Amino acid sequence: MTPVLADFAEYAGFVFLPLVFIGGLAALLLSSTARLAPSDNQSTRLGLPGLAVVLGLATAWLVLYALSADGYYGSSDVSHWEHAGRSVGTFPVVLAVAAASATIIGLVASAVLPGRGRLRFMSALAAALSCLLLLFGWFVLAGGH
Amino acid sequence: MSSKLLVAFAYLTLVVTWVYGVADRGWDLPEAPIWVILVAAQILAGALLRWWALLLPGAVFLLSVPAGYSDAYAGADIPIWFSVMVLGLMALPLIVVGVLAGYFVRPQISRAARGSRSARGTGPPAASRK
Repeated sequence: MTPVLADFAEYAGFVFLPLVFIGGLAALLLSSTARLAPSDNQSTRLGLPGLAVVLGLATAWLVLYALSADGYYGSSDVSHWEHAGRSVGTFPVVLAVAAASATIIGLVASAVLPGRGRLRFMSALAAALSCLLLLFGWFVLAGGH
Repeated sequence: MSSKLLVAFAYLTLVVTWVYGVADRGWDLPEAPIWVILVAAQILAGALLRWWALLLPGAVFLLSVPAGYSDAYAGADIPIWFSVMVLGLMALPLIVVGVLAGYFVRPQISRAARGSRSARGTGPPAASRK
């Protein structure tokens, strides 16, 4: 990985971590109204695709962060992914990326298809869970030093 | 509600940047302005989010756990999350100050806004005045 990308992966976390945290809260709030609100309701119409964008960006950032070198190991080129493999394991990261990818499909489907209150509710709830899993995945990659 | 989420996002971005940039990586920035900004952020968060703002230091604590020991200060005896926990406890009274200040300031702002609106155009038109 180029140094520019590695630096970006490190520093983008300052924005993406709060974004995922607040995105999870927003998804929880949205799930409480998504089942009842009609699909032309503004918060539903903008909220679900917005959550899909947040999840997509956060997933891309997490993959980039996993591939970047872990500064704790100094000059040796150990990535965060290898570091996680040595301690907790990489399963939480894989689970987070898989859950977020599936949720993005659900969010896009619920935004495109009219009606479908149950789908809106389920995808908003899945988005909240995916945000939690992404945060846990980052914990595994960044922690343990 | 979305504006409150935006305020919470701005607060978390600011404080997470401090945790991972200044405390963990040791960015060489002037200390006094940083502390002024951090103190102001607690008061502003309290004023804008009211009692919900008391949850924010807890969120910062959770996000600071993976930082572990500082990379920049090798001799540090305590992990960053412990310092963040102590600072978070110190932030709570500042947030309460912000909440209480918000209760005093908000009515005055809305009264001033209402006054300026009625002065601008809600009075009777000039032709109807005697």
